[in-house]
Amino acid sequence: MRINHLLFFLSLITLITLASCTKEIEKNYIIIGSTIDIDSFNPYLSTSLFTQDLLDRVYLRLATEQEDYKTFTPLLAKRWEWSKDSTQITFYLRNDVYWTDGVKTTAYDVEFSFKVATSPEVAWLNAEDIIRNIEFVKALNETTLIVKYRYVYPYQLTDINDVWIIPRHIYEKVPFSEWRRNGYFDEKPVTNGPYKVARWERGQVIELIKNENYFDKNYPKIPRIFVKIVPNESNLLLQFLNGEIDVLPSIPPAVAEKYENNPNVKFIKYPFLAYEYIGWNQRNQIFADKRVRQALSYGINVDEIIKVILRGNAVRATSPFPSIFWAHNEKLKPYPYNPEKAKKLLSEAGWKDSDGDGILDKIINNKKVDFKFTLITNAENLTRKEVATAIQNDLLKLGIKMEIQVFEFNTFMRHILNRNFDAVLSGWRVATKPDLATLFHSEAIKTGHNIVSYSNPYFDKLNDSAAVLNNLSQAKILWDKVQEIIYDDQPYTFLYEPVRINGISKRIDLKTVRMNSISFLYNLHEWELK
Amino acid sequence: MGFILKRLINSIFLSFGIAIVVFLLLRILPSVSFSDIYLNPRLSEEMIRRIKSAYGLDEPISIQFLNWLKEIITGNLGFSFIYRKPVINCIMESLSSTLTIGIPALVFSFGVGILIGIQSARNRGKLIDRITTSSLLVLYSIPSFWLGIILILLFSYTFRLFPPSGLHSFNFNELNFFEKIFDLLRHIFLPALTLGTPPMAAIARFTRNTMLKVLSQTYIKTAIAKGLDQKTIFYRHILPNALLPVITLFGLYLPIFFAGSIVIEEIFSIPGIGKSTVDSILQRDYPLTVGITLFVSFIVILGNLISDILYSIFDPRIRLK
Repeated sequence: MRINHLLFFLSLITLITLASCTKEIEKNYIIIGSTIDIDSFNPYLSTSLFTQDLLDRVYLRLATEQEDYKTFTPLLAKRWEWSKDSTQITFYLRNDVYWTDGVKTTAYDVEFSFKVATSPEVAWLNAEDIIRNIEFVKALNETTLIVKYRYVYPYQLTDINDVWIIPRHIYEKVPFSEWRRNGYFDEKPVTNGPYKVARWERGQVIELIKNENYFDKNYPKIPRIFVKIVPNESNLLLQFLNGEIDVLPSIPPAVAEKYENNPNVKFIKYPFLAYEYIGWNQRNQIFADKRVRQALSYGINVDEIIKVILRGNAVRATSPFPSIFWAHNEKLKPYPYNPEKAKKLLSEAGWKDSDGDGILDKIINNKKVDFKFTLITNAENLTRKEVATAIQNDLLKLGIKMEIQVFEFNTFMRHILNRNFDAVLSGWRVATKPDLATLFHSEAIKTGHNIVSYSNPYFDKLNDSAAVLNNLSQAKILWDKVQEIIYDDQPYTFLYEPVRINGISKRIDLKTVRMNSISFLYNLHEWELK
Repeated sequence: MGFILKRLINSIFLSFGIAIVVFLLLRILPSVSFSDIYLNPRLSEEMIRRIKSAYGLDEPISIQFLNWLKEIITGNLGFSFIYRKPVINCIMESLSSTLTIGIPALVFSFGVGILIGIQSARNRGKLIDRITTSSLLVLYSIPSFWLGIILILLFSYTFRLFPPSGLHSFNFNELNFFEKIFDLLRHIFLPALTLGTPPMAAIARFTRNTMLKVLSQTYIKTAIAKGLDQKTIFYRHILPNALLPVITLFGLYLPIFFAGSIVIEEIFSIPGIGKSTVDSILQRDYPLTVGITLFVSFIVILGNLISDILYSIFDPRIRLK
């Protein structure tokens, strides 16, 4: 028995020593929390937006996209000139930018990067527009670069600026065909941005430190950035509230509301270039009728969904261009919640409850069909599941029976792309180059992302002319019309544009922080500690 | 010796068979390598085809299967899409993290479990025994995701005694040897406790029962009647006989400690086998999923083999044939 007591006390002492023994690091750093790890330091292999957010802190682009999503300010390129016919841009690069291994960043690196971006062997995810629109990229000397386009269109700068600029002397060591099967680039990358990568321990931590050779000696202000990876959201949240993590992206509205008065943290909210929608698959006869789709939009109480489920952290969506985007048609007002009007439209379309079972029905092809369908959505998004239930209740009041089916993400996407669904609740992130062809053009019905099989020749024509108009204010007039067509046809019921909520510690000087739809780390190098 | 060899060879074939089934099942499921490619509405079929071809997913299944067999024979177990290195390297890296938690948890659950079981049996029927037995039942039934979060809430959030996640501090490399050990132990404490507690409770209850069974045997009564002192009876006659069945549990629990726990590795952010399993499934990294399955089934079979061998060593009545 005495031995047992001794053992007990011994272990107690060990525990206390363990618990009290820590060594602090100098507090000149911040820690960003993340549930996911990055997938590669090679920007051409990465598929995750979070990775690209981080890579943008270590690699320089030619220019910086501004928060209006259409203008650019110089970065690696000091200035640029357009040719007379606008099919060619000459970039003049900075002379004082060096890769972290001491080699100078030159126009030849950009030329090589373009070769990478368009290579079929690399199979970069965003290659398609670049291949279609840019004819060639040529370095005249170390600092002069020519970009030749196939034709004139409004987003010429956006496209060339999408090309990640990587060091040729490092990346040409491995043949393109072996890139996807070679971990070489996942070692410490050679970069040229304000930060450089000090280490990457998979699933644990990424450490960025100040690049002493960065061309602008005033930046970055915070010399050390850690990204701490904790897959469990509850654990991550506790660490954020406890001050162990300084930045926590994408916080659910209910959580932010609960901890709003926490003295150590602040929640930054900003609109996001994205929207949530319900797509009505027109291959299903029920949804082929425009009046039915309009009725459904009238019959869903979106304001209530925003108020109750999202705690007011969303803006009602009216069109496929979010309200903060320049191409958005601000004259369109959201469909008001109006069950009476919905019922009227439904009965106009022939939907009546003839057998008195509470569910609308209609004779289609000599067969009585009930107004019943299944809405699918993905399991990972808890908000969507709640929204789906709210919609289910709203529609039941109209006499429409909706089932909900939830799939794991990959399976969900497979259902969507095979057009194997009745209705889908999902969301799109919006590209800063307005083009609705991928979603609604009749040519995208078979293979593209026109998942609802929407077809309107008038829309096709207008969209095609708007997308290539070089004068953006003229294009805006056409885009407004395009959105009116979509608004009237309601291939989707546009629900809401989510507001992004990020948590940030009050250790950081909030006046220096800018977060936006381009990235939540948009100006990380300018952030300062208090 | 011949027996062990035979069993080993058998187990290799068995895990191989399991891996083939998993391989085929995965290919029948929707076969796209990266989930995110679909998030981009601008991506064409052509691009998807190119990416598939870069990973060899455009070949017919039979060819893919042959390629995979080749990788097995070379010992790579295939090539991971997401980590871009041989699957065997991925498994070895994850295994080291898993073992860092698993071995202390194993020692804890068997050490503490057996001790508690013995004490409980010795005090059979007393209040202390009843309290222990019922608390063990509670501990045994607690789901680990809940236990983990509660421990974090208590030890990390409220009292700030132990770090809530990871295997070591960010400044680990700047520490000296002793500080490193301390740092590691501090990080191991909570996950190992979470991982080890349910098995500990099971082992304690099991030990208590086998102890009681032995106590009622006639040879113990004989020993007492002979007038042997308590210590000799306990260490010579009771303990060895009572602990023999506990060995079976060792084989049973080996996979829990060595094959990684999906839940605990997720909560405490440990880049081990369990975390790799989830990542590989979600990101459709087939070679890694199949490789890990191969490895885990091998561990399970190995666990059984080890407990058989231990049994034959400790119990002379049993001989392996």
